Amino acid sequence: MAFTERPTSTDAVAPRLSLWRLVWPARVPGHFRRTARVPWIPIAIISVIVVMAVFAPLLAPYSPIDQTLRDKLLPPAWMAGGSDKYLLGTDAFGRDILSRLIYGARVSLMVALLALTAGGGVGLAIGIVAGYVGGAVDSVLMRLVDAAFTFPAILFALLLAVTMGQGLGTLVIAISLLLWASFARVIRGEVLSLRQRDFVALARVRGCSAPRIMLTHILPNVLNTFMVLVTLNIGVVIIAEATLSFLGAGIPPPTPTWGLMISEGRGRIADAWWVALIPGIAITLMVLSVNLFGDWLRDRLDPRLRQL
Amino acid sequence: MKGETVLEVRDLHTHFFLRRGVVKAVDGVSFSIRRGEVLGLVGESGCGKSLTALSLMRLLPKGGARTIKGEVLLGGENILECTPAEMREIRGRRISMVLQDPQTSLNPVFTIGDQLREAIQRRKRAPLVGTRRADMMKEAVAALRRVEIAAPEQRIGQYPHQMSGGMKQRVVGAIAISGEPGVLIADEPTTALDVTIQLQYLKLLKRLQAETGMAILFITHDFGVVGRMCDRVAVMYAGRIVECGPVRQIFEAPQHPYTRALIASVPKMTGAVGRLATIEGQPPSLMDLPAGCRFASRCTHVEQRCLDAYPGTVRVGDEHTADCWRVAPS
Amino acid sequence: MKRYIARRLMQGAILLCMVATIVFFLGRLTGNPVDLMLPEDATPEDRAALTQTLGLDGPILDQFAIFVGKAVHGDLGMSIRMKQPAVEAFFDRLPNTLSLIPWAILLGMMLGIPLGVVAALHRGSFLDRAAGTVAVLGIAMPSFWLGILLIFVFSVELGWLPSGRMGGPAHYVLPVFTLATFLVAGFMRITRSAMLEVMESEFVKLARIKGLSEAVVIWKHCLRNALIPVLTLWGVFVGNLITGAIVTETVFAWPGIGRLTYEAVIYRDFPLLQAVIILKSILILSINLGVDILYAYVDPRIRVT
Repeated sequence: MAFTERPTSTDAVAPRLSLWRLVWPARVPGHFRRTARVPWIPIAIISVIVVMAVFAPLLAPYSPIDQTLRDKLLPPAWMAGGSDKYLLGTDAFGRDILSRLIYGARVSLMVALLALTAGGGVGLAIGIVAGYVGGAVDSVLMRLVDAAFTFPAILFALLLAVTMGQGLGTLVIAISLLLWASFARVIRGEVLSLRQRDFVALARVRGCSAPRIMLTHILPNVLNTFMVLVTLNIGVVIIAEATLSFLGAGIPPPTPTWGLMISEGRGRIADAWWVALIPGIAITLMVLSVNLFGDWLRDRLDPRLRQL
Repeated sequence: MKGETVLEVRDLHTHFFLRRGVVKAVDGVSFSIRRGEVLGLVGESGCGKSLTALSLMRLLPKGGARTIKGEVLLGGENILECTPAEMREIRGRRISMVLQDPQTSLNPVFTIGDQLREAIQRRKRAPLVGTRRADMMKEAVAALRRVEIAAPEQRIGQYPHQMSGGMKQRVVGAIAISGEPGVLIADEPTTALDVTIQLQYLKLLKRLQAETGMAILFITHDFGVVGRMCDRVAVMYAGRIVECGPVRQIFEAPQHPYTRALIASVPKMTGAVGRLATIEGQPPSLMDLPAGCRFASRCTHVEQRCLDAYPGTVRVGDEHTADCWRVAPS
Repeated sequence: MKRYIARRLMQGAILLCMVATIVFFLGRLTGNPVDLMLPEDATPEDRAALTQTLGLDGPILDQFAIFVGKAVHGDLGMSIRMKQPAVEAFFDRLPNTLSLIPWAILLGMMLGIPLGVVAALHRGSFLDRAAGTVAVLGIAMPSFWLGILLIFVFSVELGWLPSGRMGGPAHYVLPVFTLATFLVAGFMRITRSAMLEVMESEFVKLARIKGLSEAVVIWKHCLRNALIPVLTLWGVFVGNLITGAIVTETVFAWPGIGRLTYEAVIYRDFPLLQAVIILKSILILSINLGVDILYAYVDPRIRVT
């Protein structure tokens, strides 16, 4: 009896649907090919938030710091007691939540930009130097990186806030501390493999000095990786900024930041949940979108980074 | 000690179904092995040898590979039609396999003893818990001794990374035969070993075979090993077996041009050393196979009929066949 | 094995020294450390006394020596707000945090690892993508917000669970869950990718050749190997847990070292913060050492190095 095409056990045949089968497989798991679709929704969300940040003065219906105590703790427009004047309601000082949200986006993005430039830049520089120069310099720098990984930088951020006072500068320095180590480590890895390449040897033969090689040859080739790292870390920075603001170590009031808004709204959660919960939705959406976008970008540009 | 046929493969087809096309890796392979016999399966990389072995075990890699046609008769029963549960019973007990790379074949986090014990427990159909560990370990030691590993009591407690490649390959062999299978597939077992160790391993395999009478399908790309090890040999090219017959006959009077070229390219240690013979060209893409003989583009004796149609299997001697237009049937 | 432990201990000690040094210098950075360390209503006599004890009018290296000397004797300064030695305040609260963290780790592992295995098994299916979404969400949500959200849903609206403070088992549910969310996501991701890699290994093929059931192949052979990379990230997780505890304990008014940190920040209690950081560092280093030893136990190849 000849055996002709028929599903064998290695095919993907719909199994008996049961919870047990989910965890106790009866057959060799099948293979699946995944196509990376362009993540439109995350891109849309990111665009909206960026627009909000850039055009805040034009978009926000009110000033974020004006207090109208008469209108305090109004619920969002779609709930009972809300009004169209304040689409997302007001907080305990009568400030419009929507306006504060919009200006908060500005603060978050600005801090993110500055911290990524500073922390990412430092990490990039250290990574290139450690990777290219090697030897004792590399050992020392990598020990520092290991140390940085061991200790939660948030603690140091808090310490900075207490000793140097709250403010944008302190915040940026603090968040940069979080970032530089992971940038340094990954970039160093890239540089190590780049160092072996012929064009570097050629440059050395031509008599280029080490700093020149690092700047003109190594740097352009790691920019790809750097950009991916930046996009992957935006989420980290946003949450770090929110956390520090929540803990009272970020930018001081009355500047609206999303983390601060949540902190202020916390006490009133029982009768005015929108004050605390709405900014959190914004943070979650932003970080989610940025992460999904970053993943997609990484898959497109450099799948080797999938370990991250 | 040749006995009845224990494994018969008829017209096996295993293809890879990819988005860009179908790769016909195994495209109509037939052979049989008898009890106590060693059949060599020779061919260059990519000709489909390993995939044939995996098809027999029904352990095809993920990625669209499927056996779509053919029969694999183990003891008269077509195992391609077994259920997964039945196949699991068969694996290890009636048919087993030795993999190529000893560095990766063993699980690095379990001791040799544990991994052997797993196999032995299956043979004895003992439950995993409640069986006397000491008894199992004694069996494991005996198994190691059987594959000529020195100081087996110590080796039992060791981890794979503490052993050399040759020793690991012996352990893999011990695991493979622990179920006392009737058929053993050896997929290039010596390719990753040092040359000095290779010979020892082959001798071990021969000895084990003499003891157990099992049939061995010995896959290799090295014709030199074939001469040492095999009773019969099947030469595979581009998914099909192009010649098959007793080792002596194949070496002395190879019929298929590919076989001839392969034998000629084995460097000889005796006689005048001239230029090493090579085979010009590349094997055809398995996605885009020609209508005629697949070796035609590299054959020095190619004729028009070779390009038009695939030559059928021609019997050229006692149990000796070749797929070539130019060969005279006996 | 012993040499491995000894080496890790030394590395830990060096790291601790680095931390202490940085903390010390940050304290002296501002140029007016006395203000940092005393309450606002301190008298000039208090100021003078402190300057004397810490040697603040002397060279910086002497100050450092005094600092180290005191630290070794367990004196890390006096909390401004609580008016008790900072070390004492820390150890008073430590048990409360330690009663929370193991539950979070347990929950994280018990949910995260099996989810990761199942996701790897059914790669590409709806289940995998759903689990992936949960994981990504878990990382995107700020944990303090999640805590507040949970309080709102389960405490305010539904009234099922208490909204904070220590107490019976019901009080543990929400804080543990909040702390564990990040862990579940992390464990799931790593287990999934580790499993996917391991499932392609040759020794897995050998296990199938042996005729072992698919379940044994996956849950015994694959998982054991997949857990190795999971363990390496434990160290990172612990660090995240300690920081996560700060926020979670604050949200749930849990009297642990996390909340203590928050109070130190809010009330600008520098001595307390300084002590908390150093002590937390010791805590993290100890846990990391424990993890490394566990790692060496699980992966026998490591013991050689």
